[in-house]
Amino acid sequence: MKRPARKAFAFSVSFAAVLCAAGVAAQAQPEEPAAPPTDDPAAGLDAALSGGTQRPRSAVAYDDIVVVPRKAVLKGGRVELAPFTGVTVNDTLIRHFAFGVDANYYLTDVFSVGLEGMYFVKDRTAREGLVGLQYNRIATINKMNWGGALNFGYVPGYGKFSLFNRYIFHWDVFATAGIGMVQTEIIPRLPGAETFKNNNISPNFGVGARLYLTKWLGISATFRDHVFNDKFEPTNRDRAWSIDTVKDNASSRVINAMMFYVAATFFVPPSFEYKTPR
Amino acid sequence: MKKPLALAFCAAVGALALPARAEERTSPLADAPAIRHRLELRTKRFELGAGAGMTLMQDFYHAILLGPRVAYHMTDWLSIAGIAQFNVTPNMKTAFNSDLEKVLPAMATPMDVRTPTYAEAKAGMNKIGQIIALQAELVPFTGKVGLFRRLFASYDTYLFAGPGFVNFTADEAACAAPRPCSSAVTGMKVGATFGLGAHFFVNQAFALQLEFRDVLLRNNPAGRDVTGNRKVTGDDLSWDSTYVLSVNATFFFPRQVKISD
Repeated sequence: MKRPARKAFAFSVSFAAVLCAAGVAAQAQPEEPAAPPTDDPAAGLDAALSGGTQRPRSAVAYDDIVVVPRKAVLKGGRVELAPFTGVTVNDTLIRHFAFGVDANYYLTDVFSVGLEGMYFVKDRTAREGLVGLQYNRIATINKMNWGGALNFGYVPGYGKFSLFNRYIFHWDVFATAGIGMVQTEIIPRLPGAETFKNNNISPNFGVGARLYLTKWLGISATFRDHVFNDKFEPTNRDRAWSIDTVKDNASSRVINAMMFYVAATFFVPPSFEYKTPR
Repeated sequence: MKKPLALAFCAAVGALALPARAEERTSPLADAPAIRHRLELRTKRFELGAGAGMTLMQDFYHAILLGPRVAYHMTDWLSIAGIAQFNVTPNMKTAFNSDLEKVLPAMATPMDVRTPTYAEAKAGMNKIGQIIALQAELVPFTGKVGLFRRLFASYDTYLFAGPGFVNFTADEAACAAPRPCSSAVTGMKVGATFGLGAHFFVNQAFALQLEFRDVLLRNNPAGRDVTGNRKVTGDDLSWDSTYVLSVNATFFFPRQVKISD
């Protein structure tokens, strides 16, 4: 090694050694905040937290202690996308499973407006299957094909709970109401007979609860009642009738399709900013 | 060539030697429980209340039930309870039952032995008389809720399970061959009950309680042939759920509440 390079190398090693020594010394001495005045409430708080004994104060962070924490999730100005599945809960003869998506825009932290769309899959109950055997009759039932609605939501309640006094979760309750449409179709008593469909205007009302897992992800459960005036296959249907004649002779009844939904909720954008100081 | 290499080596050594300023901050609350000075609203307290419930998704008769609830909370998360509910609306028909009344004949048709009269069909339908349950309750969640930013309450949610008993009654127990037979399932039946509930504490001694229960037991609600052999026997029994949604007003004793550390 030539002399100038040797000198530079030696200087660098020495400089590095000085830096190392300084670093070791810094780590050995814990960072101490300025000694608080005797009437500083933080001093008493720190003592209380440490159970009265002096704890190592390697990185005490008083700004971690917040007397009143802020709400964990803010919804104002965000879009909620909630794919859901549901089932009817109040029909003895036929059950419908629903699959759909809810999209809501939160105008404020409590008010939302959104659209809902869903597709139904029917499932006849065991009770419906026994009507023929036990009563020698065939049930007159309709199936639901699809539904959609414009909904308004309000969040009246907000809460939190602890799990085994270790973790805290935030949740809220909401109420919704809206107007939309549900398409139904008759299930003819004579298999293979022609059917007709009904596009029914349907207001809906619901209540639910949402649990927040992260700032952008949650799960929710909702009870919703879809109300509509449905038309059924007439009991005196003649095989010679045209489908228009069948529809003209249809009997009508107000239906309450009460459904229970479970949804995963995603908030977009996934993050938000608090506008008030902590 | 060697100079740049030497300088780079020195720079690297110097950088590594710098003290690690970005040390991990440790919150003074890191090991603390999530909630301190928590009101232990259940520990070693008796609960006594009464309320009303209603059945859901019944085949032939709805039931509105009234009755008491008693519980003892051994800890803040574990308790045992008993409920007894009495049906005060034994003749409240479901829509399906009302539809059957419209479509089944009032008088028997000798040539048609497969179609029962409504009276024959009704004779097989059983109704809930009383529901009794003994249950163990587990409270995994406790918290607080605010309504309209005005009303605040502590609450808990719990899961429960235990034996359940339903006493079934019927208008008639009749089986007259050769016409289609109805034989109502009556008497006290034993099964299992499970579900979930919640307390909302108005104050430290009074709470509103909500409970959703399923009583699962073997039943034949129609009292008619299910297997297709044209007889009503024990083979026609199947597992049947009786869902009940209840609301109770409950009082806790003693009135004083322990506060946690």
